[in-house]
Amino acid sequence: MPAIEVDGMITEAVAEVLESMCFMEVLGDIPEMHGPDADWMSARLYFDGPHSGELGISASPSTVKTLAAAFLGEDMAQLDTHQSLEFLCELSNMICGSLLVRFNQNGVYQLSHPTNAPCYGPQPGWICRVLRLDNGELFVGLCVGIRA
Amino acid sequence: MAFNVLIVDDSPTMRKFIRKVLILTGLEIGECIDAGDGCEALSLLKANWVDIILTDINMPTMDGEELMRCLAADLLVGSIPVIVISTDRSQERLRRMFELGAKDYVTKPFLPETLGRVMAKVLTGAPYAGN
Repeated sequence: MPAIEVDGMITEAVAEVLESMCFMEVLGDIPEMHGPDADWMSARLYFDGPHSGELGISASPSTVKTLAAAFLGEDMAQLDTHQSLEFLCELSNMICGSLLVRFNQNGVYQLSHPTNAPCYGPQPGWICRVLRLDNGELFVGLCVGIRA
Repeated sequence: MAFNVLIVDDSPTMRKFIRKVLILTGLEIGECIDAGDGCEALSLLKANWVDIILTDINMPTMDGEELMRCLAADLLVGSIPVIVISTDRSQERLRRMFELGAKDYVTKPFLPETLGRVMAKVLTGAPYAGN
């Protein structure tokens, strides 16, 4: 699968999830690729099926909190760090599901339980995007292979 | 008539989100209980009667497919309608869940009105009026 196609699928998947669950838009991508900052919150999960690999997302604590508040319909002040991290795990799960159906509409995938392990920055074998949102940036990293 | 609901999802965030969505549907919701996996759900069903179960598939300990099998094997709780709410939207998974007895299937991400429409159809057979 050409990386350029996967790039577009990542943007579509993130946009679908954020627009329907958080009522927020993806405004575009950041041309200057960079990895997550040291203080950013992250979530990662593995998937296995017709394709196997790993997806990670990362964003600043304030961006995550804003997204979590929109998702849960709560005031930002009511949300603690734990809730933000839990939300980020669920967000990674939904983005991964939305992405995998774009890879293979009929494929059945097993997804691991997301964890808040740190995301890596751009590196060989990974397709990374930094997406511009209403309220900050979202880093998405994907490593994908095809099962032999 | 108020409907009692059991939400089964390993994500506390998603359980909380679904609770909020249930309020937004405009349906009359009675008691709303939740479980983090299929085992916990079966345990709750021993002591609580619910009118509908909303379950995820991918969960630790007991996943949604196994939960559906256990429900089907029990004459009492086997009659409770189940709606699957999952990120997995492959045709094969949908087919398997419907074979196991799911009444409907909502894929994440979803809009509140989507869940409202599906629940109204399953619970009352009536078109969804919205909130």
